[in-house]
Amino acid sequence: MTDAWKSLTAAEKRTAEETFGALSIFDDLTADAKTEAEEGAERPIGFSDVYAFATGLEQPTQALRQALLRDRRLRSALDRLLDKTSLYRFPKVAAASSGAIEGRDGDNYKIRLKVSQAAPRQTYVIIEFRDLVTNPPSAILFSKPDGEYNIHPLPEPDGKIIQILTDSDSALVTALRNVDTEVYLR
Amino acid sequence: MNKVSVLIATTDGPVQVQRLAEEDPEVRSVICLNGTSEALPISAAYDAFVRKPTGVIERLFGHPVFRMDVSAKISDGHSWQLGIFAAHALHARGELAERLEDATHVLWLTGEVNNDHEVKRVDHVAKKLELSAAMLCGLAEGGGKVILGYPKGNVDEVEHALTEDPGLADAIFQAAPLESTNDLFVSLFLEDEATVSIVANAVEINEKNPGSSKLRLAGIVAALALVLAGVLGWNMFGEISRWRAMAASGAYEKLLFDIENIKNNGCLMCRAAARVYPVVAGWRSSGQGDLELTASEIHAPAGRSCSPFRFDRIDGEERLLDVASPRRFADSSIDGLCGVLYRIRNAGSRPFHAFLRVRPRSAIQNRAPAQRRNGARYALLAPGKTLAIRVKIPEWLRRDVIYGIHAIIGEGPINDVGRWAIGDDRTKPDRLRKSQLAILGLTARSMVHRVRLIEK
Repeated sequence: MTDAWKSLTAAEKRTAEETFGALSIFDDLTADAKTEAEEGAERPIGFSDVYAFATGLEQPTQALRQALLRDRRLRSALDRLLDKTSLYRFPKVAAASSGAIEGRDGDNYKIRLKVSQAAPRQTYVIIEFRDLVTNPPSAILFSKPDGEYNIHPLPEPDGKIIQILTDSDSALVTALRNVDTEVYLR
Repeated sequence: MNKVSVLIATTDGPVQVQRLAEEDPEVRSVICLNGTSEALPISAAYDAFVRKPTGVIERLFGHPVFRMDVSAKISDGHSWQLGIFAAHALHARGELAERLEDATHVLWLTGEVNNDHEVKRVDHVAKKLELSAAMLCGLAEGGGKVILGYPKGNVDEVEHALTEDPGLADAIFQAAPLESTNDLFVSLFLEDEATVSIVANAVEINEKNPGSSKLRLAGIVAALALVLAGVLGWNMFGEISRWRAMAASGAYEKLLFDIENIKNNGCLMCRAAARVYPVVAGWRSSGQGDLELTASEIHAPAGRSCSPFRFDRIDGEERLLDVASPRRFADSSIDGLCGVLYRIRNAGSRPFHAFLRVRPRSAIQNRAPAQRRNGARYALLAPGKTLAIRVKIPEWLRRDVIYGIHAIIGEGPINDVGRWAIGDDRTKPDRLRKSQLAILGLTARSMVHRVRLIEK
């Protein structure tokens, strides 16, 4: 047993046990899929795939996307993992009449969307920190209500601001504008 | 109208500025690749270069946020700053060419620009030139006027690179070593500004002296006619702006050589430009009216000797000397005289570079090189500011002494040519020296001042 485990509080150890329990159940549930995959062409989706997405900077693989779209429990497992690994999770935005928004407000973070004046087909995504953070986020992740997950790596902050320029119809901008999208900074 | 394309020199080859546009003040300035949303890693540094208080662009051009598109990646360093600065200057004038094929001029630039607009030395200039050579030669062959702009501190490197590659040297319309971004403006803003400034200056002169003689009016009309002729002759104003850039950067020797060479070997309009240039240089430079040269006797305060003054313990009492003639101050008596203060004052409305030298012309010899150096001073003088040299009169004088006081002012730095211009070379005829000073756009004044042992 490592020192890291020893340094956890009782509540943290309980959370870890629950997480591993859930992942174990998840692996059992996907065992059948694994067998089928071994017989067919597709590799089965396991915990390692979900974990790699939740902690890495790569886009989800096509297989993981499809698995997430069809399996609600897999999505719940990923959401729990994202909750544990993220610096901050933006709550869903209270319903707006149009369903489209131009930003999100959190306790220590704020996200704004600004369409470029110089190139209107592109949009600035600006993440502001209220305080300087020692460990700034390196990625923004989001999950849409239909089960689509995505990730966008972030550049180094400049002061209390991280700015990304991206196409206005990109997955990031459309997801951020949707009130039902869950957003994580990690 | 000129359309100027800007090439930023990098160690991966030249990068063209494709587009510059004002952006929403709520975002940060950004440099993007080829019109896409891919922001270059130097975007944060660009934002700092633009935005007040660290940046220079907002201070000059008024807007705090821009988006720039470039043709290839610029990864690191600060040598992109000069090119970016030029792009903003051209954008503000509506003269930035977004496509190379639309450009009348191509500016190849490298240099770091600090907060005081000084252009600082950068590394790898020779390599950047080598990687740009093929493109610059192609542009020149296509009729573009290729201008190189680089820090003055990199002159040797550039000259060496051009010597090594005669083909590239032939392709270069102008190579401009820059000390500050002001030099860039002089090099860049070619025929139009030269024309406008000259006309504006002529009008200004006329307004200041409405009652001036018909001769002056005729001179202005003649000059305007010459300007008009210059507008018709592209080469003429190309040459004039090139010489002005040399004068502004203090490259006087090169300027004199170039004009002499053009007079003998240049095209017809170039030779005409060489004849007109001394007049044009005189219009834009500070004149005799801006140069106030005075001398003041320094006496010991009542009841005290000159010794404390000689040991710098007191300042003494100043008494302004009269001017006896246009080239002579009134004589001074040695009686009670501790020293003399010779002073240049900028009586004009624009800053100028000033050089002042005081030397004994007879009876007294300076004893060491260090003392001789103390007799010359150089400064950039703002309007109303002064530059002074204080001469202590030795106690042991046994004969009268005559001091020669020489002052030069000019638009460009003049320290290097001060010794030459004030006439140490006695073999040079006075007329030749005057004509050369006119070419250089320098204004000189010489006075003498005698200190007598016995009141006559």
